Amino acid sequence: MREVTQEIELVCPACRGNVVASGQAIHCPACCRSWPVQHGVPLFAENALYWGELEQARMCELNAMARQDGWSKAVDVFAGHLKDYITSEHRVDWIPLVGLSPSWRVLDMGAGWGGNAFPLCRHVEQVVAVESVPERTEFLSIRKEQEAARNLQVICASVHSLPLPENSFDLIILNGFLEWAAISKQGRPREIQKEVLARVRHLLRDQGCVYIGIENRFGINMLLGDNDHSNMKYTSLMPRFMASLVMRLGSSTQHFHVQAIERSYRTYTYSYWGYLKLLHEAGYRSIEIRGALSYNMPTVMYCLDHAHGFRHYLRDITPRSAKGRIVRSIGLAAGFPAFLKLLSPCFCITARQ
Amino acid sequence: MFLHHSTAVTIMLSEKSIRSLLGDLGLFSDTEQIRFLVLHTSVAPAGRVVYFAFSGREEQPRWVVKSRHCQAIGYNLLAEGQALDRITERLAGTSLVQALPRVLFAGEYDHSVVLVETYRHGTQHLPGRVASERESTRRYLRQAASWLSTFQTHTRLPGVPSAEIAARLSQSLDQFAAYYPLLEFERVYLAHMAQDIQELSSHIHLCAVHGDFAFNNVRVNGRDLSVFDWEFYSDSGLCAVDPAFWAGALTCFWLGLPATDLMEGPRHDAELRAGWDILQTHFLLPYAATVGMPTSTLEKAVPFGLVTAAMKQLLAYGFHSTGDEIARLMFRFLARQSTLLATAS
Repeated sequence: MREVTQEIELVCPACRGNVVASGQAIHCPACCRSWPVQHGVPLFAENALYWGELEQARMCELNAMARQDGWSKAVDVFAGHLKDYITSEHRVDWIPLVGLSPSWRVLDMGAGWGGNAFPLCRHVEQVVAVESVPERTEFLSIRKEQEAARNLQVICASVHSLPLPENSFDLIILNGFLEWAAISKQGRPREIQKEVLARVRHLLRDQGCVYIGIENRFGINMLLGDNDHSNMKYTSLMPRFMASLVMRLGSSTQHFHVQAIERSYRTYTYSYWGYLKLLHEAGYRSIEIRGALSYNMPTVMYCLDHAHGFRHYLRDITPRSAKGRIVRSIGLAAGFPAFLKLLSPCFCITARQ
Repeated sequence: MFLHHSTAVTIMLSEKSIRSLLGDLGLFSDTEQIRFLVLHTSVAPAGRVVYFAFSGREEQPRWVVKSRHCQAIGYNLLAEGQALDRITERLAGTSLVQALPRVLFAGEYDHSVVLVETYRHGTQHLPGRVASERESTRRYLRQAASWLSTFQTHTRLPGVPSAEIAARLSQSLDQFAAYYPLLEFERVYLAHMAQDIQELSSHIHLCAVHGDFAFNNVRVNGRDLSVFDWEFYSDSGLCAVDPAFWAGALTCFWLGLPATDLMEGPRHDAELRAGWDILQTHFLLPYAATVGMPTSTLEKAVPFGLVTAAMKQLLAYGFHSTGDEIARLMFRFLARQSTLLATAS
């Protein structure tokens, strides 16, 4: 891990003035607000809703064990099924799309378990990991201490009130984040997502870049019955009002443990063209969208305006599952870039100001 | 000497740098027309990024650009470049040269070690599961055996004293036993192998060795085979390394190893034996017949090939990777099979 020279100076999420740290709290001299600091992590997220792959109580137990026996062992015991997701270096296989520079300061929004943040610490000057769930920032803080990641700064804050100064980051990562941005705020999800993108854009330095890893609303995996973020099948394919109706009427097997502000469909994903439009409206330029089978571990990334690249990959694989074989057959048959854009399971997107 | 994941210096070139390198090499007149397929193979620190560079809307990639995550083993790419130069020279005038990629660049670019080579047309033949063996798979196995035996015939080192070969075999066994935590039956099997060294050393030969000869490093284009990924190449090695590793890699692929536990019990035994039988009939025996190796020698040489292949890959990287894992698992299978046979008799 790299040594860090100085942590980023935080600002008041309300008045944007500089804040000062004193003891176990952070104060804003201008508007007299203060926020606690726990385990070295400033907690700006007030009344945060819980979100996670584990139930809240189990996450607390995991943290307790991580503190005592090490984070890796705690993950083995409580979240063994997530081990790869948490620790695999393949999480940052998207790096060639952005071309990191060692002097960069990177912001990882919705850092979760640190799957992106920790590998990145070895590449760049500083990584700021923002996460709105205190149980998850506690885990990040424990892992940071145990991995001696001194150039990682962990902050507990909501994307809707970030304590970060504008024009501060060379790269901002929204990996599996944008689709969840509207679950904790009232309003139209698309407008909220657009607001978030615009806010994030202001945090970028002049030549800065945002990286977004996200699902395709109409991805072939969705058509074949993968669960959507609603924990239900096919909801991403439906008109939004219908997806909301289905969510209110139906019951689902929990994959994510989410406290949302209301039981309606708020985890919007989009098509290739939908993302282009959303990013344009949020003020981004130089938008490049690549296809990927999984944005969580993008071991394969392909140009969407060139179907041969992806077909070349498909010819060289033998999927073991029936679903995989169907995807392969369709991919090989679909010789037009439009099909790739329409059906790609995930997108890896880069965009600049 | 072993690298730890968290201490490995990681590097990754950006697409932008690769585009610029290909432009600098004069391989594309308009670099904006380059389209990439980016593949990441294995996990860090062994991780590798392979860029397949397509021109405009062409169906096949023109160039393959390789880079490593880890700078320490990134230099293996330079070794691969040098190996390809050497082997191309050695095979000059034979049809085997057609099977090799041509190296355009091997060196540092933008603080990373990069290898640029020509793309050899063809598809990777991935022969499904054992149960679904088809004639095309058998033909493919015979094709691979034929290529390998011709390669070895052309690169065979004549007049190597059997004492030297015996010393090499013995060294492989010692290293293998020292590096891997072996089960009791594997130790017994190794002891049996040690007894065969003297006899074996007068029947096997040294030749050029690919070192990672497996289905995923071979493309088939009709009757032509192209072989790539030469980073473990050596001018002089045990002839059994490549056939043994080929058989091991294919068996592991059939069974989903190393993700599947080979020691799970009898569940895999039938499938393993069926797969091994197919490999023996259509790959190992035709190979042995062409290089003039008696069947009894082949049977004894294969485990030595696996042990040597495992150590070769382990020592080249400095840490365990899929390659050495495959060879080790297959060694375990052979040791176990031998134990079972001994018990039955």
